[in-house]
Amino acid sequence: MLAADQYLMVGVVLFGIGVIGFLTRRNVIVLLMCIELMINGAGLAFVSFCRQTGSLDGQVFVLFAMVIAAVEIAVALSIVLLVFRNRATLDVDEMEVLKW
Amino acid sequence: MEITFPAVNIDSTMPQLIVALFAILALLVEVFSRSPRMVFATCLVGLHIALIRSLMQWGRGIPYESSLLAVDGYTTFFNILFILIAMITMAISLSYVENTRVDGGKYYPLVLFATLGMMLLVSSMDLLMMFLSLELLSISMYMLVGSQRDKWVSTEAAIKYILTGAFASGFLLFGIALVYGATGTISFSKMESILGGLGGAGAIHELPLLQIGIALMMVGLGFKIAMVPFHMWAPDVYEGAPTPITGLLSTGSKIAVIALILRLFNNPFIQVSSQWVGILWVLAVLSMTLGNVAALLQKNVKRMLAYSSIAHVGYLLVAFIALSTRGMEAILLYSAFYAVMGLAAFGCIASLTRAGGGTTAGEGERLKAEDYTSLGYTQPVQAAILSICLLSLAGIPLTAGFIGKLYLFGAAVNAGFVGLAVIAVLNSAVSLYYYLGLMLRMYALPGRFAPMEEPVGSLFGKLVLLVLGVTIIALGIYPTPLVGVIKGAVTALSAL
Repeated sequence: MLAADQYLMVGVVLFGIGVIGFLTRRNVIVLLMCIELMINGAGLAFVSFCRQTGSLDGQVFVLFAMVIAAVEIAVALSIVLLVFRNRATLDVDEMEVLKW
Repeated sequence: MEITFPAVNIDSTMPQLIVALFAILALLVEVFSRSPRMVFATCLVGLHIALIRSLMQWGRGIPYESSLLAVDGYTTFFNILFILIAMITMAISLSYVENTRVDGGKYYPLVLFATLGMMLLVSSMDLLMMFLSLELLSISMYMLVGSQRDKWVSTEAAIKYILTGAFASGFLLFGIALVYGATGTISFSKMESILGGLGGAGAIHELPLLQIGIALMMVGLGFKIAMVPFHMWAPDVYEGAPTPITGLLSTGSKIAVIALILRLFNNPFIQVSSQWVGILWVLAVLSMTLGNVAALLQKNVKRMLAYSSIAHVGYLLVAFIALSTRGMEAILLYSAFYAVMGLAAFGCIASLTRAGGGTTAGEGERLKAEDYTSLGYTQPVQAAILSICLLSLAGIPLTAGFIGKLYLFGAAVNAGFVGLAVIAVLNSAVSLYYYLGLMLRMYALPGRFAPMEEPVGSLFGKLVLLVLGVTIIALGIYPTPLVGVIKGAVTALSAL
């Protein structure tokens, strides 16, 4: 049986992988996956804190955060589809009409 | 472990409920009538009812607080402001939507959903409510930014906005998790009493989780208000978004998040706020300076106003740093003024769009600075109102912007931040150059072979702009009633 602290560490690591991935990768789909990792890392942190503090708020929060993540991805993928239809690319470096 | 269901006071949350109801109703109207004008009318009716309902709440002195929402003078002030912002956004959108082939049937309900997000955000008394309403606002805005589906710039802006916005939400969520872990609660009022019971700032230093959590939350919220160094997305998104939506982004969604930050640092995090002064001092200076210097270099008017809005966040932070009642009054006052100025400026740009705006970037719209040469002679109404907006944004006396800046910088001086106020005033001086530059360009004498052109913009749109222009001047000359209202709102916030 793992202690709550160890779950927290997994959450922090997941979040960190998400952040590093977001900053280094260039494919839109991979970026969205990294955001998903960040949100799930936060979710894991919530659940482990829930265990430590003994309140249920954190678990309720995770359920809401999952729904929000799903909504965000649904909107993001529809925009990605629009991008792909227009430019046939998923590389963020090629989206550079708007720059100074 | 027990769960108590929050009691909802229907009467107090009526304005929010009305906006939500009419947003859904408008979507149904869209399904059955297929007429964007009908949807527009439905949304506008809903906003009017919500406005009347909020005005009735004003000053009735029944503060209502549940575990999720607070309805007090502060909330009511911002509810009224956001409903007005939504109304102005809708009004300046009407001809723009028709000229640029945006799908109005989905556009107007989304504006209402975004407004609902702003209204709920300001009244949140709970981290969960705060997160959900911020996401409601953000997700509606992502869709609105990408609503010009046949224009590549709009799509590019949308993908950039949703990627950075979701990234910021990730930080916010993780920050919330850490704050929850440190305090064991997500309710603002419980958090305030727990942190207040620790015995001062020294004991809070012992809570690294809380410190990191608040810092991560500020990263997330800083992205949403486009504060330096989290501003990179703003110029691209502001340039690519449909112009009225740029107006809504730079006023409504920014003001909502700033109002939330004010509440956070006045209720749950009041013990921590003094530790943030130093960091925010630096960020305010960076926001002002980078915003103004970058705006000097812009050739695109929307992009220039985007950088200027980054600078305005800096000005608002100047008063925030004061951490005084006076500072809060100044922020509320300037938010209201900035909403009018910003929306009117983007409204003028939107109303200069010619019918059948093309599919490539900027075609059909006047976006480059050169397009504005001698505009005062061909499009006198829009040029005149845009000049008033620019003067007000620059902070010239007799306009609302001057009074607002006076209050903002006055609050900083009053709290002993003279150096910061001096930097802010110097920044305002720099901003004069690009605001007045555009204005002088509009009134440059036309060349001998200047092409003649028909005035553009609908009569309704021009009337709306005229009302906004008059409001800017009227508030600049006689701001006293608004100041009185704001004093009441700030008292309500501190009383909680």
